[in-house]
Amino acid sequence: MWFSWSPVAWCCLVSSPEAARLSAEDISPSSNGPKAEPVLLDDDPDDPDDLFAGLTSCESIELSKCYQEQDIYSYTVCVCVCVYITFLSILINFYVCVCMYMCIYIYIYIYIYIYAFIYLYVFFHIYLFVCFLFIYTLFYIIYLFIKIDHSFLCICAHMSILIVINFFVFLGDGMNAYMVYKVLTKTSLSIFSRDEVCVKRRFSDFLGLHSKLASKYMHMGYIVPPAPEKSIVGMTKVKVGKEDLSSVEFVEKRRSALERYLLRTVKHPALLKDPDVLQFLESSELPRAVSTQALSGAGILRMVNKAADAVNKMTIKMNESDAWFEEKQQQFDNLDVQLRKLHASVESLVCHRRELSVNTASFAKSAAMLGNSEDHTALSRALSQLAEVEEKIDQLHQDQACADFYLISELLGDYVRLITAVKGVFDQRMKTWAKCQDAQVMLQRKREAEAKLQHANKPDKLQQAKDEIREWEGKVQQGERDFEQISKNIRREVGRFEKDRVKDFRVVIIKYLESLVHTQQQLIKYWEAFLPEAKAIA
Amino acid sequence: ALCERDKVKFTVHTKTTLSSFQKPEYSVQRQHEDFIWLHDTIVETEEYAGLIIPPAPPKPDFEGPREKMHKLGEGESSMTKEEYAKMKQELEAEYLAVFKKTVQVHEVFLQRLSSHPMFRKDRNFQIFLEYDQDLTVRRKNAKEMFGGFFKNMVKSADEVLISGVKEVDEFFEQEKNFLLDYSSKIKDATAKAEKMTRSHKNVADDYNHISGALNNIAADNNTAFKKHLEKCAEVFEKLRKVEDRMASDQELKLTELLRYYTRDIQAAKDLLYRRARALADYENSNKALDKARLKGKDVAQAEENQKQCLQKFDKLSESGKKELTSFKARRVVAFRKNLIEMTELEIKHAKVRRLKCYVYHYMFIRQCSGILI
Repeated sequence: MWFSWSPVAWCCLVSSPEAARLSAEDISPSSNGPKAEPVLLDDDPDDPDDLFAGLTSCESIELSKCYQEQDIYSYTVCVCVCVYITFLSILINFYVCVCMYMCIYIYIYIYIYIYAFIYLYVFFHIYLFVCFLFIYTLFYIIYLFIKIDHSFLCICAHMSILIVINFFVFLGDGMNAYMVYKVLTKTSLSIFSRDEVCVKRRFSDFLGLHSKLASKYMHMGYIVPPAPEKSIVGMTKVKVGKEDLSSVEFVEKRRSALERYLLRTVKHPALLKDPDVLQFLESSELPRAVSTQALSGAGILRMVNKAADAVNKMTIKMNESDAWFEEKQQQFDNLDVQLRKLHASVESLVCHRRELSVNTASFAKSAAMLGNSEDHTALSRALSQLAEVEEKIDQLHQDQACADFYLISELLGDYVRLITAVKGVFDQRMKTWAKCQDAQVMLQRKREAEAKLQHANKPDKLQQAKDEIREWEGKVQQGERDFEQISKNIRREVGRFEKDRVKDFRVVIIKYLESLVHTQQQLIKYWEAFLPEAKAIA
Repeated sequence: ALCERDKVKFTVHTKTTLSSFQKPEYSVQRQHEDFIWLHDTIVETEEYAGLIIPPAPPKPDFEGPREKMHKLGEGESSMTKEEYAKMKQELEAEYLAVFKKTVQVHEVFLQRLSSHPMFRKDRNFQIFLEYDQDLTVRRKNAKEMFGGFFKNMVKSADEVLISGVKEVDEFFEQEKNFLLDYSSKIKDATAKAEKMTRSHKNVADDYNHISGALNNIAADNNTAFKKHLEKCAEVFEKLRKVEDRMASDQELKLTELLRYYTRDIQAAKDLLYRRARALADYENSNKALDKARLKGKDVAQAEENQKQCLQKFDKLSESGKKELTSFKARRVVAFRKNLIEMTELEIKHAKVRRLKCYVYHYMFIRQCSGILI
């Protein structure tokens, strides 16, 4: 009986995490829809009431395998235990009461003993009840903790790692100056030696980490998150020492990009255990990664490799046996194009909003001047108030622009780069396949050579040929194994990528909507404060 | 008002109880040029020199929508059906906004004329309202336009000259300074307000693009994420509509107010100019009288001249004073009304937007937890 309650209870619990952040707006967890005020919407002739029609259609849900998670089990377990204990305690109470009643009824004559008996029973029963209550509360508290940040559960039950980058300082001088970032890692994972580590790193260290990870894992099919790009222009401006807005912004942008890069890297379960990553996060001294400089030998080698890869891609024509890969490749190509377009639109939105705030500020100034030259006192006061309101609104718009920028635009930029990495992984698979094919071709040739030698009857060369054949057979097998391994890895990685993408976008959009709500709230406040002033113009 | 291809025809309904009109109700068709003609005739009438003449309504400006329509026609083949429909809708909304604005401006012009006790009785005004057929107003040919332009130049040169004339009346001195200062400031404020509303429109347009791009992405994806994205695109679309409406409201109220008063202040300045001109004439006639007295001939004529100038000047001063005080009161009232209306509209829109954002937030979260389940 009590297990039928758990799905319903669980529905309540799952839908309330984010809803808890919304204020008084009560969100009933059943499918009745919100009791919003349709009255206000009637004012708006363009919006019919089908605003809420979409709600009931949400209930048709697809369960795809990728989305089944461990957190479902944790939730169920938690809730079941709580409910079970409640019912157990209630049952025990009930049972004890019945027993007592029966006892009283039967042994009514031995009531003296009954008193003692009753007291003992009552106290024991109360004690039991209190115990269960305590355990129940304990479980509830644990559940609350899980509820507050249930995204952690999604990865692994113990996973909790927090990385913060801040307190950067400038060392060195002139053109050799570089920025040092303090990376603070707080974690409870066992693979880290300490709970809290704080290290100093340069930007080139980050790039070095990325190149090491890429060289190790890319050919196995893991999607390695790309590092933020080098920007010579931005860095030079900062180095020159200009304290203006754009260089402050640039530093902030870079800092948050590095933070996001590290977080993404440690979210990947395989990369987290990598010794390079651990060394990066923990050890205080790191060998300088000189190979990341643009004009170094390694840099040039990288460029040459890139060119060679591009040429190879055009020449290799893989006959795809697996439809999944073909479809996914197509999907990612399309997604790349569209994400770029979206990114461009969002950037122009940010730009225009900044423009709007600048224009509002200048309008506020000229309104203030107008108010000054106005000789009717009440009107003059009202106009200066208007100027103030507009100024505040301008500030608001600027904040909104920042929100737009940091939330959405940066995320989109990251994803554009991530998709490049994904496409790189697909290319790796193609290269592996090409290697496999080459090995097969070699094997074939060796076999033909051996057949020829058999005809020509040269025993010593024959032995050599047989050895070679065995060697190449081994290589072919290895190649095929590699290919299968990389395909499997890619499937898993792509699944994880899509899941993460959904999560990221969801979080960002929710945050953005919240910021919009906040902006509107402020706007209302400002205009309502201005209204009595406007009315007071006699 | 009706709209035809190139010209806008206004239908003017008049209801009146004045005896000077033949019928209590009229309804005539007029064009923009007719309004301009009316304004010009009133300006040229000597009698009204002492009054502030309401500024002429500006020419209806359908440039923006026309451009868009052109773009729409060009890009018809390259856009998808939804984009085309959306753009058409946008175009219609913009057209409507410009239309509303134009009608309002013309209406205000006529209303001011009719509410003024002197203009009401003007013969031309009555003809304008009554005459059944088309007032075939001869459009200014090139010579007249050039003449008008020349007159303007002379006038501005004259203004500069006259500003050197000493002002006798302190009231007018004050007013002159105030008006000069105020007119420059209000022009500035108008320009800035226009820029602001334009940026608002740009932001709204961007939301449109974003929602289009999101729709494109959603079209490819066929997981549950797709519904997500579509909802998101819808959100942005609606946001855009709301922002757009806010921008156009702001424009109608604030910018139009400022623009109208820029023109009005110009008219007040014109009044002052005419008065100053009259004063200069008076002083000139004084000088001429003195000269004539010295010379001993044409004294009577000079005296007559001087008396006339004095009369004119006095009349102008008197009516000018009245007009300017009522102008100030009118201005204050209009500012108040418009500011209140604008604030109330802003509040209403912000509330609606806030509600919508809450609702989308909620719906989005519902959908997201739907995916998890």
